[in-house]
Amino acid sequence: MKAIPGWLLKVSAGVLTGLAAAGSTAYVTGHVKSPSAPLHPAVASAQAGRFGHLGLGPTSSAGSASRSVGGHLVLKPSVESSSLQPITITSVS
Amino acid sequence: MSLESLSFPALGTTCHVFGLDCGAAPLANAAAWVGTLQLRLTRFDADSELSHLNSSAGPWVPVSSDLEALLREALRAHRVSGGLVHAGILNVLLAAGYTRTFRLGPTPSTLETAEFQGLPPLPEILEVSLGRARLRPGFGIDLGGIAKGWMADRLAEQIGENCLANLGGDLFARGGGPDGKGWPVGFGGTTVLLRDQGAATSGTRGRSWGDGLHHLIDPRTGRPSESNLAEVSVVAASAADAEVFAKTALLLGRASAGFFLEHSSPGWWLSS
Repeated sequence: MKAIPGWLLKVSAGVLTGLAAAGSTAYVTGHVKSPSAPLHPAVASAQAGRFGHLGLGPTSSAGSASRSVGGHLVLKPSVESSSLQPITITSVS
Repeated sequence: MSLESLSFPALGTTCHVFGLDCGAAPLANAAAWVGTLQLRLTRFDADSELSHLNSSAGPWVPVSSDLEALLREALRAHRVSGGLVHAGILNVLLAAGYTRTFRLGPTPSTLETAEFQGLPPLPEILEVSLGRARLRPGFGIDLGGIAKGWMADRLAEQIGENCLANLGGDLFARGGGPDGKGWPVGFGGTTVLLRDQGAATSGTRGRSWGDGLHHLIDPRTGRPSESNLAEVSVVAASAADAEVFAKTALLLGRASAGFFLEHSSPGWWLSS
């Protein structure tokens, strides 16, 4: 059996390395992590389907989470939401 | 069943108290109690008990039972928050221009020229003993961040078994409310039913002025917080806890707030 030339092995290794680097770069740039993004967005979106219109919070083990107006709301079972008109509100004073 | 309510200005904001079948007297008494305590605890009046403590740094100073309780609450808040809720920020607030009641507007900030660093832990600044307190020279106490929650909890005890006390957004709901299912409270854009629970909101949108100047001081830097959260609302077992948790989460920022609140609160709202 004829031996594979050394130069061919070197070229092949170089091409493989280049392809791996290019693939990795493409993957990483397509999945940029934003420090200001909500925690574990993939987990949150996966759980949202399981718990109906209010998704399970990204950091919650039980309860619900949703994006309310301009924010992210998480309610565990001990806090019941309601359609009643609020009698008062908590807000920045 | 009759729902009584009373609104009154106090603590630099508007306060609301509600009671079911309690009559008007407990609500009026509540408003009077808040007014009395405000006179004692404000830092904007040089004759208040708190101002006297702040101007007497060094030796032990006699304090009333209410001020003693609030100073102990400040130490508890510091401990619970891992040092982020810090009542010893008065000098930073003054340097930022928050030298008088907010409606009068700020005075020029000297923060740019001041060399503030992180604050020492509160127990190194403030000591509290039975009927007295001692403040380390060079530091002052501001109770604005914790007094409202603490007072809302006390008010709910005073008013009756089915009531709600809301002091500028720091509130405690006691009993089942008008329908017996809990008091309906606006929270993060929705309504939640609170029963024997507190809620509070901490944020930089309300009391802010100038470029990056607001009243939420980060004790780690000794400057107004640069958190990427602008507002946090929290439900907790008490209004005092809700206030501490909300402020802690805001100062932690979005990346860590959820982890913190997951272990401390049954409900929260984060807004950037």
